[in-house]
Amino acid sequence: MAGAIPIGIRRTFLGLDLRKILSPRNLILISVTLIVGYLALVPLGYLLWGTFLGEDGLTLEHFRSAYAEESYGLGRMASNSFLYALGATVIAVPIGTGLAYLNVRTDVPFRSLVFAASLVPLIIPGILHTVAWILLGSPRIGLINRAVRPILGGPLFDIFSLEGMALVEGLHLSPLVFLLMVAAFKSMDPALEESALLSGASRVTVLRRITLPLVKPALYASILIMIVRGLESFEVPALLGIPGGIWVFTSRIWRVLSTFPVQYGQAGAYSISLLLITSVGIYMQTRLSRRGRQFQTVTGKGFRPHPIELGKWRWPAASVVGLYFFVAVVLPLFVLLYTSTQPFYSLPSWETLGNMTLDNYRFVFAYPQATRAFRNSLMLGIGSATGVMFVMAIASWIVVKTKITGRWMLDNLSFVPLVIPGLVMGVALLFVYLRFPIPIYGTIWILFIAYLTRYMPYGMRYSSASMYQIARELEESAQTSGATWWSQFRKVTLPLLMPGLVAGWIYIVMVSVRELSSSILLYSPGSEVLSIVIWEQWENGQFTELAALGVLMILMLVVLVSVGAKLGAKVGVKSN
Amino acid sequence: MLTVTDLVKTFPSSKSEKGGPVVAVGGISFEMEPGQMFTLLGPSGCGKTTTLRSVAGLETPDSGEIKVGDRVLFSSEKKIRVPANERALGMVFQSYAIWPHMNVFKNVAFPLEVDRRKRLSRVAIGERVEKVLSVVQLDELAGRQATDLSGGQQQRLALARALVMEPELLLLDEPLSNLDAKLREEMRFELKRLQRELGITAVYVTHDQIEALAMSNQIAVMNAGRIEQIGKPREVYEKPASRFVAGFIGTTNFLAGKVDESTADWARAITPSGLLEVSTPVALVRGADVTISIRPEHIGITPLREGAAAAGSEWVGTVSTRAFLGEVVDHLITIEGLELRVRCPATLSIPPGTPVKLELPQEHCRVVREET
Repeated sequence: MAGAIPIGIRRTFLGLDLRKILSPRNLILISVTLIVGYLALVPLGYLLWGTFLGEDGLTLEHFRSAYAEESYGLGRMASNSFLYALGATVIAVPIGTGLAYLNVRTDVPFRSLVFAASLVPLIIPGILHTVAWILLGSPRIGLINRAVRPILGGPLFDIFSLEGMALVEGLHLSPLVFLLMVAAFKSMDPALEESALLSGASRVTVLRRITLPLVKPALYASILIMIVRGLESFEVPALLGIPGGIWVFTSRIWRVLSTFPVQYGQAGAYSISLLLITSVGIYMQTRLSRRGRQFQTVTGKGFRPHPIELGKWRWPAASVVGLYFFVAVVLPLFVLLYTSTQPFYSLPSWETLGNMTLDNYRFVFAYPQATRAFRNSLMLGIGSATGVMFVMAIASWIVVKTKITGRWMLDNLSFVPLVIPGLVMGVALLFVYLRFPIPIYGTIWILFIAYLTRYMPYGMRYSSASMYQIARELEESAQTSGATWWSQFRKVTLPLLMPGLVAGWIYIVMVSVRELSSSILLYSPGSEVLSIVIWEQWENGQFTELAALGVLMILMLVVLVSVGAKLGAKVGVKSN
Repeated sequence: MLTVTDLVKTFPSSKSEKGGPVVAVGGISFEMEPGQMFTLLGPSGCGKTTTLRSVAGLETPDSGEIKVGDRVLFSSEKKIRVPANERALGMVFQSYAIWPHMNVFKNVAFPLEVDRRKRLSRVAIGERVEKVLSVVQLDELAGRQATDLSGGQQQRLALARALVMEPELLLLDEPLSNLDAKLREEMRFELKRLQRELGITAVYVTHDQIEALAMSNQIAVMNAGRIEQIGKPREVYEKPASRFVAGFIGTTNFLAGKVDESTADWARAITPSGLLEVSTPVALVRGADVTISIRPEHIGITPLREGAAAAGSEWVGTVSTRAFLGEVVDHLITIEGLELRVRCPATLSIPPGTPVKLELPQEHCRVVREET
């Protein structure tokens, strides 16, 4: 024993064995780490550099000029941004939570209707949703306002206001709250409520003293996520806020980059302000979800679903569900469909119904920009989804399966883009590729890089979740069978990961097809994507053609969602 | 005390499988005396939990009547359905359902705080909570967060919360099944002691036959939504009414036979292994097929000396295998193609291959009802 010389640990720290270091396995691991690090850090570095570095050293000049004018001074803009985000949250959280409760814990009818409605943000992109609500709620042309004008003598409400913005964004966010809260209610033991009922508590007391306190962590997390989403959102502030003169960070960023002379420094200043705020929100949310675990009691046993019988409240509850479905799904879809069949936009009447036409669809198919956008969107969606899932499969393998020191950094790096609002990512990439010697500015490749970066966190989440489920022995037995690292990864790990990877792939295809806020800063003629074309048509006032294109885009997303569902992939909206 | 009459509960079948509704409880009736522990025993899916939840008011039966004392809690005929929160019953859930956002004291005080009729003062609530906590020996832990309790403590807390209202009837839904084996045995005695000492009337639901035998005054053995037999623990064990009861509680041997002769409680059956005198709950028709159950520990066994002949009521067989189980030794005996399990005290262990003679006492050979 004592005299035995340990074999195998003779490798000294500086005794570099090049062959070992440059083995194919390590080359792959190193390049994946470099890709992730490059995508996550370089844009942020350039953003800081471009914003704080003036002609003569460090400067805050860009911040000063960004917040110079009173109508968009820092205080005014921060308060607008927060009021808007909070307003959207106040609408989204109660609606989403209420629907989730009714769905999971009661015998309310039409439950499947709400689940269908929860797919709306996936199927109706933000820009179409916003346009649909302008067509419904604009004081001048909105269908609802025009319909009530003879009765009220004026418009019912003005969508181009802070309240209108909050309403539209809140409706679009409510399904996300619904999905988050469904998970929370499902993980709650129904016996906790039942024992309170048997203790003699009324339904309201049970809700107030048992149910809501128990889902409090999830509720707070949803509130934070919604506030961050509201602050990051671009479509609503741009289409509803700018005409009403209500500036928020995102709309200002777009404005200083889209008007001449382009103010890159100011855009950077707004971006960094917004980034600071959203990082605080996301930091608080991760801390909260970590703390939420202490609320778990006895676990391990599956809960049998015992929905509460609503009794006489069953149909009132059902009508609330029905009303939600009507407002959040039927109305926007109807107005788009209706508009797409009209030669010009007008209030529905017998006359306009007689004027129905497919001309707008013919126009879309004959319009080279639209067909090109379809191709661009699909190519970018499929390309970035494939790229993200491929790189993240290897990255998650490093994080989950190896003992390499510093692998947690790779994990954290891949989640950095989660904190960066889409528009800020656009600004940062603009900064990079205006100065960096890779000539992709003005090509479709810059959009590809943007999508790769933005959807890296989703890819990591999907593939590491399934990576954790692969038993170590399955890989070890491949190694003992003599497989090299690469063939083991390709023939054992990858096929086992496939279901998770496919789910992530479909999700990324869907979100990138709808992407607007990064693309709007990075596209150039020839590399327009669908949402950009819709944006341009809106600016040109081509409402009817826009509606036709929108309907086609929704159809495409419906096909994608159902393919995802067919493949058994979980295509629910991921939290954040 | 608790009277359940013709209780029926069906669930709509899940979408995946076609067919009519699933019958969870198929028209059961029973009655229990005050101060008793009444157990619903059966395998999972037999309807025992649904029955209990119907009594609690958490499930609405399709038809039937549920009465506690003179109070009608549910009656499909009279169209009465008292909501769960007005039934004033105590219930302990399988998962304990301890509220994790409250401490021990608050958990127990909750039923008193929400009582709209009595409106107890803070002081009165405090006194009653402390009293019940000391009964379950948790008074030291009143300020502790509920999630910091061990499994056994959570179980006792759930019991305290159910008892604090001093309910007429206590409902226990597999309360011990989440505990580990050692603790379960301790709690079994603890629960029984509390129930007897406080004079609580309780309905106990379990799938564990040992638990049922150890704790109950009465056991109702349930299978497929029906009650197979109601009786004292010793009755259901020693005089099982059906093949299901005999097989579900304890281990047993089943023998097939034909009736040769029968009186009201006695019969002689012809079995492939020979004639057998058995006891029967009813007189049997000559020539009818019967199933006979005899428990392994009731069969007498003695090694057969070379050349000795068997007496009339004795059968002769050969030991095929034996298994030492600690307190007892199980022998498998082969008799003309039939296998019988025989259990003896650990002092008697007979090597395989030994010819043995078996004694099957008439009072332990029970004719049991076959499944219909």
